[in-house]
Amino acid sequence: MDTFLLLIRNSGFSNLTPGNLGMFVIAGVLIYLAITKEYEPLLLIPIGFGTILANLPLGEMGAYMDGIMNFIYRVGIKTELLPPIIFMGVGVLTDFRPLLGRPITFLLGAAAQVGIFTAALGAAYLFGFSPQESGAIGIIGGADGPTSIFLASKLAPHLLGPIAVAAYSYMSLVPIIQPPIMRLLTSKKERAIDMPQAQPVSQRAVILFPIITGSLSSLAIPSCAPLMGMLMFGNLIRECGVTERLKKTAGGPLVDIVTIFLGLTVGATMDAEHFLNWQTISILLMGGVAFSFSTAGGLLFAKLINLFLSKEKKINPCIGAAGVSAVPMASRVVQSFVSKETMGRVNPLMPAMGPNVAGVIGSAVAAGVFLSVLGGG
Amino acid sequence: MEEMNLVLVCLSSFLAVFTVLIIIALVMRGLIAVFPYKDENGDNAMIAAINSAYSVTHPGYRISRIKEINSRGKRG
Repeated sequence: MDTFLLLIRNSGFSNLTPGNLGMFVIAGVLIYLAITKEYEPLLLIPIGFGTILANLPLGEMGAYMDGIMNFIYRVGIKTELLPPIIFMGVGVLTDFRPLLGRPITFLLGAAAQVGIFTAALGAAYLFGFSPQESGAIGIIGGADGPTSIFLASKLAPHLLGPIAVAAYSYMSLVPIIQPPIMRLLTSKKERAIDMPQAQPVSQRAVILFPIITGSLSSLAIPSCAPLMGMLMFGNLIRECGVTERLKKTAGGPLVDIVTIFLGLTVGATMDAEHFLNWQTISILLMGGVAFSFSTAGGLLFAKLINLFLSKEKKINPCIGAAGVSAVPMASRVVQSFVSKETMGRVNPLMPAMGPNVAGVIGSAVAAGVFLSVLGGG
Repeated sequence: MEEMNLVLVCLSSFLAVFTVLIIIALVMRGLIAVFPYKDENGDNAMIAAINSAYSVTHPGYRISRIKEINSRGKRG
């Protein structure tokens, strides 16, 4: 009988706290949204289940405890290993031709990073976060999960869970956040601008692009080398035409394996003690601000560029909204919005892919800048 | 004091992102000019159409090579 009572006393049930139960509900919501709404399921399912694991009392499955999740967290995230590997996979899966065919869209990708800096300032001024924490929160506006995890693990590891959840949640909410902003900031006439096809790009230029861009950006901002270097390496093995096996592995099984570990570990950082506090709420709030400002920034900059372009070269300003990265969802949202607004006459999917992939580069460079300025790197 | 610094940090970071992307854009523009796109496969539809028309006037023959020459005699 004593043994039985001891077993009950040492079970997770008797050690459950209201915080653990609250986190089970949050994990359930993430898993529900991933399955029923298909909101970023590849990440939200592992994150949701990792959250459950982290909140099982005495299970030692939290990232800040002593179990295997802590091991994966230390080896995979604290060392910056996993996010750059994901970036390599992104490089393999990304076609940069729409960007190369219209280099001016690089600027839209840069302008759409304005949300990062706005949110960082908001986090510092409105909520009193430290400059390092503010930088890590601001990067949510880059709409890039691996970049957010990369920067948060360096500048504010204690906020990693809320930042990652905010980044992925808002990325999945792009179809809801962006259309009202596009409608508000553009006229009917602007939405109806039909852009010609981008100029075709030679294979030599496509192969030289990752080599030159990876080197240039890493020379300018050395802290962005882990992300930009791996992104561009992935793109080189995609485009060079002689590394089919590497391309298949990096863009398939490898990125899947890393996604599983990354998602589970991020979920494991979300134990009740670290997640259920006012900071999480303010991070979620600033994430929304970051996304909205980034969308508006890209869009307004496209309108500014239009002031200097001739009538036949004008840009549909809606494609600026795709500069928030979130590839390829932001491009699809722009395409769907413009097509609907113009009764199917204008379909800017390919033009929107330019700023969209430029946004990936822009957010990686922004993370590198923050890291070198705020992290002493 | 820290918040004031963060304003400067954010402004200079945004400028840095813009500068890096502008440089990359300019380099890419130069790269595309140095290595322009050439349609190495030719226009298959046009070749098929010319072949089809030629086979009517010259049965038993086919065109093996098409070369575009502009009015000044340079290759188009």
